Amino acid sequence: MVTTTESKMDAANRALKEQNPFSQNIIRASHVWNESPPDIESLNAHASDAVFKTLDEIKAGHYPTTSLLITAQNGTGKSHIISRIRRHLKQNGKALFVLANRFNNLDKIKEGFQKHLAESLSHEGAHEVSQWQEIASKITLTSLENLKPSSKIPSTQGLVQKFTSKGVETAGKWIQRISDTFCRVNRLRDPEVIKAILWCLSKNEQPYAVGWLSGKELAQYKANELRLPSHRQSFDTVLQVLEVVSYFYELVVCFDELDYEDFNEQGLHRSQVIAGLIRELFENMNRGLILTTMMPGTWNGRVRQLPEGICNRITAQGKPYDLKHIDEQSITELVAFYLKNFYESKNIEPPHSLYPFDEPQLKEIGKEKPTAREVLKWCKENCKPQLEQAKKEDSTSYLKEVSTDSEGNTEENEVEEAFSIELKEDFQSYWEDNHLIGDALLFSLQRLLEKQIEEVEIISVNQQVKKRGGKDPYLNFKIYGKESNVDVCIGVAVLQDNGGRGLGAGFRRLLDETGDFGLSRGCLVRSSKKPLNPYFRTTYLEPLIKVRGGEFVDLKVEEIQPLVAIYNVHRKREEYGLTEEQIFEFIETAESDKILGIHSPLIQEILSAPSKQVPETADEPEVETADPEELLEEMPGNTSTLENLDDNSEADLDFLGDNDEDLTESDDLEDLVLNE
Amino acid sequence: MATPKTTPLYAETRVLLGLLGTEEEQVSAYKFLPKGTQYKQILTQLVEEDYLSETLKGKRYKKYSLTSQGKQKLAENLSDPELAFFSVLGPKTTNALLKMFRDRKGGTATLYHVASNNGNTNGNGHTISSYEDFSDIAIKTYEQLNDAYQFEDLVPIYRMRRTIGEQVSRSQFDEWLLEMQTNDKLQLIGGEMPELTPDKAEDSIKTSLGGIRYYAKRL
Repeated sequence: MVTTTESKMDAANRALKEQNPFSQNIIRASHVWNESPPDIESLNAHASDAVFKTLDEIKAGHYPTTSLLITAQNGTGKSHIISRIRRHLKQNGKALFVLANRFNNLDKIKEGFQKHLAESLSHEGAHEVSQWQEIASKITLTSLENLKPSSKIPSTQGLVQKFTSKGVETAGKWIQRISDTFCRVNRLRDPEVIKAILWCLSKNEQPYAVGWLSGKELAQYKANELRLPSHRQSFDTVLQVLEVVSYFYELVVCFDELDYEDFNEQGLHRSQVIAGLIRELFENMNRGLILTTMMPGTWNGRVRQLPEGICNRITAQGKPYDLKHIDEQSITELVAFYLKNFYESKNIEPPHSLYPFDEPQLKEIGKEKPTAREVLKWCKENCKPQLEQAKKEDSTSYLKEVSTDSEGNTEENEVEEAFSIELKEDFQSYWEDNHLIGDALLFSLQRLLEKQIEEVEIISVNQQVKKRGGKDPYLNFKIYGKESNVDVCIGVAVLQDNGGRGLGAGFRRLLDETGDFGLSRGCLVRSSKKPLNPYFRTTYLEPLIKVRGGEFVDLKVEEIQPLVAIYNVHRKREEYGLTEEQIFEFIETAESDKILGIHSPLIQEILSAPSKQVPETADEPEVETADPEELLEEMPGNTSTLENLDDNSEADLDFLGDNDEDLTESDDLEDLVLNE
Repeated sequence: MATPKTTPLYAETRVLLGLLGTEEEQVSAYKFLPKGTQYKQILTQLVEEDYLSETLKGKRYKKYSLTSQGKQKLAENLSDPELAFFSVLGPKTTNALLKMFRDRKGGTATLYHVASNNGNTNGNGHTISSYEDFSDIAIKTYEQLNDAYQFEDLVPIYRMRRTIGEQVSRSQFDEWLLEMQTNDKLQLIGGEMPELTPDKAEDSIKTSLGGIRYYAKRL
């Protein structure tokens, strides 16, 4: 018996030495979408149950919309609850799920929400297709039931396969017909949003359609192909999407990460700006619920200072829900849960479920009602095989030992750890976010004042780029410095736009031909892999480099990632429990392989003397007509008016595979039958 | 200037008042320190005694802020009959005095208690002697503050500490408040506190796992 216990202990000790079961305990945004974090469903079940119950009541028709608020301090499980809600909805398909957490530009909050809405719906729902595809499938269904009542309609997967395998030409015709009918039936005036949603049924076009729905500008050739205007960024798009979704589904919108210390130009705190947005959303949502999470101090000290009308819209369902801190009971449950996952994955049976900890020790900690994160952090720092621990046996003084330990040695690791968590964030989520990339660059440059990089000594960095101060939507910031004893002012614009007005406007800022920005040179930060159409190249890029002495800095994923990661660590320092000083010190002392601060090749490149070389960029397909509207009129089969719709309503819908006898082309039907 | 009248008490008070008068959290010495070597010495001494906290900005610049002990020290100094001004001072100093006066009226009874207990502080003045008594007074204080300032059941711990003041020592306050939490009378909450200053943080509570709690919520 003794020997088995010993060997169990040996095996457990070996595993613990190899890997710390508590090494990761902060939820990243992508956790919500991709991997499910470990979740003890009984912890704070009252909060998630309230959401599920409310949703059921909405579905039962008791009321159409409502909102709930969860207030809890960092580390008690706010993001966990959101992740749990997402997991449930993905399993049971009771509602579509939208997460709105990263608002990178508080002065453009509605645009930010449009982006979150479009990107959230591009994630998979309950039926192994994206949530957009689910909506598109319902739209198609409605239209076809109207056009061809007796037809047999493919499943969503079937539709996706059809739309993907047919080229843009055929799919475009289908979409035109379906959207026209849908708009007619539902008395909608504007078919563009519907068309964009329908394009999501084609796997190849979905990324572009989602981009368009999120407010990004499409390159002209793509806009022509999809028969959409190149760009529509407006809250109106959001409202239309909400309306269409409400025909078919309930929507659960979760707002998270309201607590960072950020202010907009009017001096309103992040939470207050988002609160305003929530009110507007609440008033325009037809079916569903809004869940907001924030810290109690933020709620009481900031949001509740706003007019009552706003607060009421955030807590329509009543008083905020608290999350419980860990106590003597739940601490053993929490720790055992993590350890069980760990030992099971290693195929080891531990001496007991809490090994290497013991119950009295954990209960003592539970008495202080720590947050879950505090407990997991303590576990991580103290998760050592018991033989080694035995040396410092005195069990009453363990807390003191910990605090000296942690104060002395772990500070740097904490920043490092947060940094490595943030590094894992998917770069796609910000790859086209000029504002965020610009802010990340600015943040790093602000740490480099009075330093010499390349030939430039940085004197100041300033977002107030206009002559009389004030930010500019395209020129991110200016760097003032001395280059070989001459004053220089470098204007930096991150322009990851695919084309269109935004890109042109940005270029004009960098050229600064009117001298409005007082630049000695403009610096374009953009991925060279992004296509640039020949017009932009000759009109802007070549003069920028050859005439105005400007520079093209190639934005590379691996170079911007660390800068965005450390910027996010700083923004979320409250959440990570870090101080500014710790983070600044980390940047300053980071080894060159972290490519932060002075080691960042991207920053070096921005400050280096211009190379005078016009870089190679991928050309985008040329378009003959610049205006897609014109193009549309010339296209055959573009029947956007209601009058002539019925005349040829049968002709284009052959993909249906219905039982109608007046089908004109049967090959499409064959395709479909095979699929069914 | 009439140097004989510049007693250590006077110099100390001038420095503390000067810092309070700047209305900033962290202040460079030139903004509040009266000229003269004596004041420089006093500054160093006040930092050593934890009445001021000193932070390094960059490599050379130091900035100062008033700790809660510093504020109490100032209150003690002002109530000392030995203290007298002997020349007209600028609005900064006068306004700092006004601020002290208003703070005292505005519900932070600390100063009042300091003044009334002057002479027998350091333990002898602590009138709450048991956890039960403390618990009653803490709840009463909580209710009063909650009603008066509409905290909606999120009462800042620093306000409770300052209101209860010298009736209990700092460490005893911490210990008993945490015990109230263990007994499910209060939940202490940390995270975000708008307009947090070093002295408010100082008067909040630190748990043994290293977390800070700013608010109490009655359960």
